[in-house]
Amino acid sequence: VTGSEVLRAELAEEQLTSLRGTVAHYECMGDAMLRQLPSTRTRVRMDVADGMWMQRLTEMATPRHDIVADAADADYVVTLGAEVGACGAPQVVVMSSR
Amino acid sequence: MISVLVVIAGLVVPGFLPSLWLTRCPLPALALAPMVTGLACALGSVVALVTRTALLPWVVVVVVATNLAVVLQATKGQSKPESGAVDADRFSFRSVVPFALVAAPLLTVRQAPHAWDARSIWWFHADWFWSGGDVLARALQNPIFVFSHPDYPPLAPATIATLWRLRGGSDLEFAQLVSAILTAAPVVLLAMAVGGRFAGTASRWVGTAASVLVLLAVHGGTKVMGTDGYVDLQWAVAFSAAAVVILLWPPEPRHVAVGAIALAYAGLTKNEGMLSAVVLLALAAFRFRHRRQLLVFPAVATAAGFVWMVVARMHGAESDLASGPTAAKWLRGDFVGFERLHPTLTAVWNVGRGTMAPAALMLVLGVVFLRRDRHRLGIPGAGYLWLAAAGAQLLIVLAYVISPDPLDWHLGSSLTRTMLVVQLLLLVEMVVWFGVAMAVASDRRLARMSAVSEVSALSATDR
Repeated sequence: VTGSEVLRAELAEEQLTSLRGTVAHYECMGDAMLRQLPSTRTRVRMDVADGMWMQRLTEMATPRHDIVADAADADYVVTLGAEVGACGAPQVVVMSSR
Repeated sequence: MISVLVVIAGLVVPGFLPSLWLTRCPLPALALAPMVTGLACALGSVVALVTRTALLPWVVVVVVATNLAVVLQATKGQSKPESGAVDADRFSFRSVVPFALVAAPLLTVRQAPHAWDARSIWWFHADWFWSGGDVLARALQNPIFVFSHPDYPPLAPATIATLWRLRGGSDLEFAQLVSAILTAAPVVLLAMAVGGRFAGTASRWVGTAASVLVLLAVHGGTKVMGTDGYVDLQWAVAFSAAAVVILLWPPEPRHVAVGAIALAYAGLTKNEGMLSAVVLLALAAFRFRHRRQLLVFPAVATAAGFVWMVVARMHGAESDLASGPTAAKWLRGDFVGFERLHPTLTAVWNVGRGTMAPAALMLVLGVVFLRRDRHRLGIPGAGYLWLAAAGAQLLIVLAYVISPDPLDWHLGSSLTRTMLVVQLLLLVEMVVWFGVAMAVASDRRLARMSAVSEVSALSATDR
């Protein structure tokens, strides 16, 4: 991850275990992401290869933020962190500012 | 509870007066009103998009203009039931039965609002509409949102967005409730339309029984509740109601107008509804070949869906089917992709055979034993609904053949939903035959009772 500022949204292991495989997992991660992003309107690029995660994070960030296609236009680039819980599900969303 | 009241008031009140003017009876007007409101929201959303302004003021303008037009018509003295009015017997107070029966499946609306397409398409689009025409215009051309099918019609999301504005905030449970009512309204209308077709038969309960059967067919036969935010049942039921009213009811202006409202509702809810409307328009053109002026209503209703398609395209929205490589080759006259036809037809048969086989059997039995009785009751032939189902089926198969998606995934993720319209039309056709049979049995019973009483009267006179 590169950028002048790196924000991380993380779920606790026990929370992740209880949420795995449910829609609430996306929602909790999305909520955590939105709490980290500035409350002002920003341009966000979703650099998330997993289509399901990309759709849900995009949906949750809209319309509070503008979702842009090109990283060069973005204030923040959102990625799924490499960290996964013991259950194998993503645990971290990373937002790096440009 | 406040949410429920806001939803019901927000959906019923704006469309009630025009609905009452058309149906002349409060209960069917209650069923039609949310559909009229939905159409007003869809129309307002088109103006908001073109002008890149807020949605709510335009919806208010459309609603006020519609209600004002109805009031003006009524005060001019043209509201008295003339020949062709939707008579109270067809939409009678026995219509309360469909309302009562549709209430039970609605209880499932309390499930968590997590259905995938509801979130990724319909309520996501509602967010765009809620934010205004400028945000909507940007969303339609944003390549990131392609997964959400930005070209899909506006009725459901625009209505949800309007009610979010009235309530002063957006939340998904509220959106789910709006979606459920938007589906329940055409379900009730379909039940009334089928039951109302038997108005005037010897037994008053034939129509009620037909309505009940339709509701059981919708909620049992399709195994879809329509309370999870998906719009497949919403458009399919509205289309079926339009088919019944336009193709089977007496060909009178107000009947056709009610059918056209349902047809526009279907076309502005889902792309399949927009395309299937053309099939229904063709059948209506045949039926009204001697009264061409009646064709204006379904023609305008069919055009409504295409207006959205054109406006959305002008703003950059693209259909994944129409812009796929196979569709492009078809447009150049290179008809490829037919290796997808056989597996598609196999899947269609697997999903639809539970309805198609009994419907075909009932068609044969009906034509052999009840054709004259159906004709005597004034109900047009079975060919209309069968052709409507066949046309819709053809479009569904075509969509899977030209789809850019992997066939197994596409069929597996959507066929049970896209087939709803075919199944519903055939189920309704079965109910119509059943209604004819009940009407015949009822007539014979009454004839026997009448004969017995005549014989008794004669015996008494002889004594």
